[in-house]
Amino acid sequence: MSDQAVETRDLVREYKGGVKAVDGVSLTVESGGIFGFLGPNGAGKSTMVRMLTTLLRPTSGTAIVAGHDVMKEPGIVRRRIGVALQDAAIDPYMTGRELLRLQGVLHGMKRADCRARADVLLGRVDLEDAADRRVGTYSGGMRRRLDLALSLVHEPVVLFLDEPTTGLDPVSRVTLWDEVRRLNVEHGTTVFLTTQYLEEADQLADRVAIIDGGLIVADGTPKALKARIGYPLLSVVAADGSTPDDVARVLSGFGEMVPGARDGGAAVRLPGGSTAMADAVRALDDAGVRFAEIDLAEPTLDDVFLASTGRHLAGSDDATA
Amino acid sequence: MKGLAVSLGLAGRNLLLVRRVPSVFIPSLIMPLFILIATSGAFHGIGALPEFAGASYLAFTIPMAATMGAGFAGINSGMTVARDLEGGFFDRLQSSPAPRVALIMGPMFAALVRSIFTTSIVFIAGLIGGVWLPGLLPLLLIYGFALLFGACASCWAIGVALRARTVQAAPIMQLVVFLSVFMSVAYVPASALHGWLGNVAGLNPVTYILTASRSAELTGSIIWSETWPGLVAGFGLLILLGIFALAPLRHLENR
Repeated sequence: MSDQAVETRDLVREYKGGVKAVDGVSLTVESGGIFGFLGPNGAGKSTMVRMLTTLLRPTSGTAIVAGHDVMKEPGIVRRRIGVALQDAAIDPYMTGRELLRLQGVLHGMKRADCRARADVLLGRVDLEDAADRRVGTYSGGMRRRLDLALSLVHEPVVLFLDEPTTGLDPVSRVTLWDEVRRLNVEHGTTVFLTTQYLEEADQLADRVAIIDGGLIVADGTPKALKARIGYPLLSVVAADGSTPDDVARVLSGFGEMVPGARDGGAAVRLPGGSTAMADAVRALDDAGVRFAEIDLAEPTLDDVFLASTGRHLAGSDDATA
Repeated sequence: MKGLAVSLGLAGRNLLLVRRVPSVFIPSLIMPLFILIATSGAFHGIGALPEFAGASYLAFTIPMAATMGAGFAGINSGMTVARDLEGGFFDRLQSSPAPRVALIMGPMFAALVRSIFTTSIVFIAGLIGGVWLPGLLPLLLIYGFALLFGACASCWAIGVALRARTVQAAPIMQLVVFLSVFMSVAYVPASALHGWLGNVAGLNPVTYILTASRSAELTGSIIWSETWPGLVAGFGLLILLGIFALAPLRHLENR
């Protein structure tokens, strides 16, 4: 296999009515890593995944997945990829074990191999006890874990996970993250993960691309993307007797002000980091400015999103809470 | 071989659902029985017409009820595909390397198995009503024609499902199958049909399927001159509807 698990060039998907869900996306995903595809609802993430997994034909452009063109060799691509879509496509009337065996049949595995593989995967995603229960009785987290197991039946080289933790409770989310990490480290499976959760991209991905309105607005390692934003953000909320303007006047001497970043106060990018924070506090005190809250935050992917699009990522509070 | 294995796997899944969701299966089992009993009861008197040549009207109705039962099984396979499309399960099938044709053959095989079951129920009801089985070869021929019509109905319903991608298309699946049976020689022989209905029935392939099946039921033998038009009509219809079902598979990725 080539070093690129996914390579797209000017990929476009236009729906009826002229709406471009994906508008000329070119990206490269190296083999063996976890790639985070971050963006708000409706940004084009799922459309991108559907094109890369042969479920949707691109309007124009090219996409090579696992070394094969999704339009010219869809059959080979399907053999080499695993897919867990946004809405876990699971038949509620079947049991987990039955679904895993059927998935093996769909991939041309022999009956005995299907049975053995189902047993292994049920153990791996900790669903042995629920294996013979109908999936309709599973919790959201169990369904997601089963969906992940289903996508691994044929040991794919590239795994696509479309918002795998959306709607899950924090514990289930962390369990799934652990499994994805283990899969990547122990089996070398390349993971292409879409998410609207900043924390998920930050925790899991070696590299992140941010999509908005069908366009890639930022692309790089989380560390590099944050470094591009610059210095930590010092936010100060004025207390009774002082105004946001008083706070801003003092802070402006310490770095680049960030307008609108903090209600009822002011915020500044601090080149000196935490050391400079102590100086800022002293300066506020010397100027007689009273403050109710003060905090120093390292740049986040939401800051990256804000810098790239001019707005916060919807749901980011939910994700990082 | 791989396509066959996948088809059988998918057929197994469809039959499993029949067992797990009886509310889907039972109506399609009751309907042919209802048609058999209601039709033979309501129209019992017309069996005295000379066109029936003294045949039992219940025996006359058995091939129609068997055909209709198979039609219901076929419709149900389309509804399953529509449900899978709506619920996202079809994405799983579509993203697998399984041969595309297997995605149709699987539900169709399940419909055929169900057709065998409903046809058997119709024959048992006939036995209870005093109509003896027509002999092994004629019996197999009646089963064969029921399955042929079930396959046609399945292709039709799956073709509709793949285009509409919603269970809400079920009425159109049902309507066409109902009309195709009712606008044939379902209730009376061709010689008793006059006017526009006679003309429509003459053009309707189901007429020839029913005529061949009915001939086997009523005579207890296989009369080739009445059988071959049924085979031509049935397989011709299956080819056309097979194309109708397969065509959208080439364009699934464009939706």
